Amino acid sequence: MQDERDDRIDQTIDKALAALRQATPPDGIEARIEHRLLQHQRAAALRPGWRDTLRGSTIAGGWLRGAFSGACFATGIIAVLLSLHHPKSTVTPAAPINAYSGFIQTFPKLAVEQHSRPCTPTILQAKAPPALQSTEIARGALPENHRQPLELPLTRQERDLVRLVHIAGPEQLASMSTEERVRTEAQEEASFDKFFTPPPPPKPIAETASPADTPPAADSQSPSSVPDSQPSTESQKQER
Amino acid sequence: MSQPDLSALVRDYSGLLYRVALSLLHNAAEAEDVVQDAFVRVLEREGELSSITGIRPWLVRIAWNLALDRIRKRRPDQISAQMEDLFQATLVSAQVPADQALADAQQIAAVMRAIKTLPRLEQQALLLSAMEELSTAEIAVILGKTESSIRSLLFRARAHLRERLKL
Repeated sequence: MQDERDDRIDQTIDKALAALRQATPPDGIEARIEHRLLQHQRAAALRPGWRDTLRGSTIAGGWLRGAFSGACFATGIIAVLLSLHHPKSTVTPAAPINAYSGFIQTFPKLAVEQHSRPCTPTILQAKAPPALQSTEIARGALPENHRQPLELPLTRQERDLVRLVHIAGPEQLASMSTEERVRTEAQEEASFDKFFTPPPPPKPIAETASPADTPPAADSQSPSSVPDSQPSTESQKQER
Repeated sequence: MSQPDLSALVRDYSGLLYRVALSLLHNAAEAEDVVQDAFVRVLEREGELSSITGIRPWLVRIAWNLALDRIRKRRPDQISAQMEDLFQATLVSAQVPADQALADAQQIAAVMRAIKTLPRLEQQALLLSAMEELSTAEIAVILGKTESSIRSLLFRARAHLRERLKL
């Protein structure tokens, strides 16, 4: 009973698999496949590769080749202009082999080690370090419009001066002038001297009278009785 | 290989490739597309044809992989309509009375549903074994397995299928 059922199931399986096996392809499948292959071959023949495109076999290829040549030419022109416009580098080339003597003086121990083992000549060549002088020379060699601007920020004192120019009056501004300041100082000094002029030294009395005849101090203090009042008046006139 | 040789390949193997693709896809139109794509691949590798020893498993493998790619890209709702397509094709080819054809179609549909529940390798080995033209060695080449493993896969597939159809 069980075997019969298994046989029936096996038959069903075989029948299904046989249905797959006996499935017939639709009519004309071979012709359609060959047509598809032919189309594929034509499309592959019409599709040019990049080498064919650059070879210029078609109009588009010629246009592309011209554009490519133009781009190369423009790049070359720009490179030439840039090389002419900018000065050549002032970096010195590799120093000759005698630069090693300076190295020995600076690093004697290392020099001994270098001598103890063989080395290639390239080790002995030392490139000169880019010195500051070469940069300064290069800056001097630059044309005027390529020099680096040396504008620095204002100092505190300069800023105060600028602020003063904006807020100060004309008298204060005039006082900042050197000539004006010299003239003012001269005037001030003259007025000072005028105000604080020291009195002229008194004349010696011994020429006119003896010390015993000298009048008392109370008498000498009166302006009318003072005989040397006349010379002081003269000196004041001279000063005026 | 020149163009007449490729035409000979189309003439000799298009039917086999169609059946192989149909066993996986269950759709006649898609199977034919797969066959065309497979021969386009052959055309693109025309230079390698002389170095290929087993041309039949090589062709079947191309069609098999193309069909698997299509299955991966399918939406889940496309499957039931394709099963109907397969039934119609089977009924037309059977040329039997309508009532018997309907009973056969139901049985085939049940077996196909059971095959779909099998593990992937068992399912593939069973479907390829349905093709008379393919030997166990060729199936092993197509699936990248040994002959003995193909035999054990076929045995287990039959056993699992029987169990599923008993229920």
